[in-house]
Amino acid sequence: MLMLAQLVNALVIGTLYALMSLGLSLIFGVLKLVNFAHGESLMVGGYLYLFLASFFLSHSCGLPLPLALITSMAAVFVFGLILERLFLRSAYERKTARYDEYVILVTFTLGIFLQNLALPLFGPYNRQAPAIFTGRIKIGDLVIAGDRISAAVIAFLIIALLLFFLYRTYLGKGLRAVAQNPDAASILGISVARMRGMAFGIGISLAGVAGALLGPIFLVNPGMGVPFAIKAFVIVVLGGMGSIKGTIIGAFILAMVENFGSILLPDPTRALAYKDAYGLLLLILTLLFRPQGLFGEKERRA
Amino acid sequence: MGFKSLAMILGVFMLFVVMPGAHAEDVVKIGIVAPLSAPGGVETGQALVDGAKIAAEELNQSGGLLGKKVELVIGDTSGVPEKGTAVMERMVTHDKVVAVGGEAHSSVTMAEMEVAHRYNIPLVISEAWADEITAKGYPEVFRLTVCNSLIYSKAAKWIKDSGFKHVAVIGENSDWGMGVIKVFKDNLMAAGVKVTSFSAERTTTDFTPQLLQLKSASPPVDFLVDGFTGAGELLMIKQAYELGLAPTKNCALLGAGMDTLYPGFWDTVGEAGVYVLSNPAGLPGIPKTETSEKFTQLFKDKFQREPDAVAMEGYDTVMVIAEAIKLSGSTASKELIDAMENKLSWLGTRGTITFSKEKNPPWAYHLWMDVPVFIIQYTEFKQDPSKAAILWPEEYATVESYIQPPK
Amino acid sequence: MRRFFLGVLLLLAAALPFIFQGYWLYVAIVGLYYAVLASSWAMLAGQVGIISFAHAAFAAVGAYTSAMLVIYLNFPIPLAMVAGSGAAAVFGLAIGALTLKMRGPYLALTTLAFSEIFRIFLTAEYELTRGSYGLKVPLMLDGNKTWCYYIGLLLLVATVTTLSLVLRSKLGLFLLAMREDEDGAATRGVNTVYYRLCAFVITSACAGLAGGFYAHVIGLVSPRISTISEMGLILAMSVFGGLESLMGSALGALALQSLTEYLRAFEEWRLAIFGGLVLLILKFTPQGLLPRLSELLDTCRQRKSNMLKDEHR
Repeated sequence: MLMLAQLVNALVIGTLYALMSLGLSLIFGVLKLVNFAHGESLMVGGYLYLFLASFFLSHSCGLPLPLALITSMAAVFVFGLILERLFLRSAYERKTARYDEYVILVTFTLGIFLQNLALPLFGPYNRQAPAIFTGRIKIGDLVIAGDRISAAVIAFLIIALLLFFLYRTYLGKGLRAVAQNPDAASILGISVARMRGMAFGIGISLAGVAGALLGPIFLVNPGMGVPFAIKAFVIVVLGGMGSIKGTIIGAFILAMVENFGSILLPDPTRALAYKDAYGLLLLILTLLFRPQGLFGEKERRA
Repeated sequence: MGFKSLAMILGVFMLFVVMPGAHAEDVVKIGIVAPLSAPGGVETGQALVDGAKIAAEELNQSGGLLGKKVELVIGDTSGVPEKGTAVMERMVTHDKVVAVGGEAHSSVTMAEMEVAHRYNIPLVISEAWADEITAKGYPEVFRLTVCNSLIYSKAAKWIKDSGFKHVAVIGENSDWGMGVIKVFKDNLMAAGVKVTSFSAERTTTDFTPQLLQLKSASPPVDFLVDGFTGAGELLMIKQAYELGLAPTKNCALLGAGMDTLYPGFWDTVGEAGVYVLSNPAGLPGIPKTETSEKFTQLFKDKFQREPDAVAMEGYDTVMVIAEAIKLSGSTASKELIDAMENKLSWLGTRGTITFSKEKNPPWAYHLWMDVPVFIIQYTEFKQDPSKAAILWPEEYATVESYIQPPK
Repeated sequence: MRRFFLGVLLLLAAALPFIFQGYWLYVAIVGLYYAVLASSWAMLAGQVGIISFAHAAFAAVGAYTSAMLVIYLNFPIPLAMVAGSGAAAVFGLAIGALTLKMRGPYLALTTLAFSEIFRIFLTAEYELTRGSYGLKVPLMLDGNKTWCYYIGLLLLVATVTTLSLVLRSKLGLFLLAMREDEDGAATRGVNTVYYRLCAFVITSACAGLAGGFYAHVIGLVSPRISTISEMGLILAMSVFGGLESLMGSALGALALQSLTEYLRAFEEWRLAIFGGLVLLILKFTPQGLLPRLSELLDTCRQRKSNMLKDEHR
């Protein structure tokens, strides 16, 4: 029973990990860059949902909370389009010297900027965002918190939609084409610049909606994104940079390792304390034994 | 390199040259250190400073100290030890304060006392609980709040007397949290109560794996101590409730951190907060003293809200320093320390403050031993701490014993 | 000319303790710590093209190693600082060996994860590190600030000189060649992984040494020095001073550090302001603010001398 309850918790958390990591993976696949501001995109989504949902509730205007979720996701998408246009597009098109270093610096600084802007603006306080579904669900002895299970179900639906979009729609196929070979894609008439903007927008909106779903569970504060971003980094390296399948599997592996690690480690002063650190172990093992990740393509160095 | 760099250097240099200088010495400066920005406990810091401001205003309205005006020098330590060191250095060497009071983080206090000790400046601690602070035996350091051993040994005794059999403590791995775990272990295990403990990083958000583990523990856990502050404290209560662990018919929950006392508590935990136990070091108006009534009125007039224990501590801190200055007729460190140690007996908002000279146990040194401590229990949703049921100490108790939740 | 100005600079710096005492000297000492970090990070990011987010964490490695050697094993402070620097180099070697052979942002990712997890380690290993309490560290030279300042200055001069010498050596030339055209350098037989690793280890050692200095000057180390915000501050300092100039980033660090003291009232907004400025600098003048300013100064001077020439004609 205990193990089953732990397993269910790991699956719930894993679905949320998968959602935010897919955004990172998509951005890497198409733009060939790691979005170091991913955690802060998550935080922005968390705050947007918090404010919208509180507004909906306090003005009792009858608007349902899922609408707040969708609106905040859309807002983060637009935010992503703007950021891409401001900081990434020109550097890419002008073929800025040392583009790789530039994008790392820019996204990292963007993260620091957003986090430290939120700090004085919203205060360091932890805010509770309203959950879409509260209460608990009981199946025999198994008790699951309502906010978690609802977040996991919504995350699952969004992931399913994303996969449908990527594999079944024209735009999604365009995105994957650019990810595989931008030159060939542009010869076939796909606008690479547009796809890059689109990928960045979708990528961080996935982080944003993950933040909106995590807000009711783990509270909203300016630094909430940092631990999740680190987990997302570990997941994409583990799964193979840019691999959709690898990212999903990697997310569940990390959630399992964290959950069971923190109860199976016999030392009680360390088991829980190191929960966020188990990821690094996975990261090091991956880099040592399978640097390209579980499903990544082996890249040879020139 | 060349002119440009030289210009730059000069620029940097100039920044130093035109620094704001110290004012003339016609005021008595008292330093107040408090966390006023993240990652510190901002609510606590703000309450502390607000209380201190009331005290300074009151002093100045009655003619100041030694014929001089009182000026508070407020330093933000952000709950970061190094910043505590820097702020203290600045207050002592640059602002030339006569004494420093305040602080709400034990880790920062530990850093600040080193500076106070080095420069021999009195430091009156308002709201930091670690034993080590006074156990260190620095003559400059005084504390007018509780320390872990004082409060949790009392709480532990109450737990044992109430008949709980298996206590689980989940504490943050800060000085304070580790102290909570240690005191409960030391006091309960000897009395035959089983204690299970975990510790984790202060920023931990998901306690589910551990709580599930506790849920299936044997013998069943009937008392859970939440040794976290900030988000962790509230999330643990929420998660324990959602999993049906505590507070329930079978298991009580004590939120040891101060966050169970803030208005944000109910917003986060919702109905999970009903029946939660808490241990405030002071409740407004209990015991009722002349000072506490006056202070509560002044505070309400100025800030339009009820004062909490921390605001009362902030007020008492400044007043104790002022009282020492009055008693010794001087602002010299040595005289102030002597006055606080030997002469001071001042009726504050929470009772008559005196500092103990006893060094056994070590934490008793320069501690106000009669500081009021309470164990309260919320009985209604969105209840104010001052309206909650008082379980302990007996002389103020409003109910006979622990109220068991119906479910 | 260059030598002359360097001399003036040093003289000014050396005279500082005679002008300022107390708190501002303390500010200057902390500024020197950041200057060492910023200049060594700028060498890595600007000259080698490696973006590491573990520079602050390596400073923490150095600080804690040095502190613990002195506290638990009674090492003399200078030896402990060198050992701390060595420990940071070992971590640098391990992370570099794991990630530098791969193309792409693996090093940046791994270093970021490392610094966050090292911070968790520091808080969790309470018995050893005193967790978020911070570890109380014996002061060097009995905490005499004037001497501490000179040690810091010496450290900064030594770092900048060493790194400049490295850049001018064969290693530096290879690094430059690799930065400009990695494939080209590799086909000409340059072992790119090896040279990058060298540079990473050297700069990591610098960070470790700075950390040791910080520990024994402040008298306290806490996990805060390993946070991502601290890394952001170092990055801002380097970018401010110009990523491609060691001296520039050292000055950038000193400038931002004193600016911070000035803008105490805006403390909360500090990193938002710095972050915003860095974004603007990156977008508009990728080479950093100070070089841009100096270019302006140069053109002014140029114009002036042209004017002078015109008058002579």
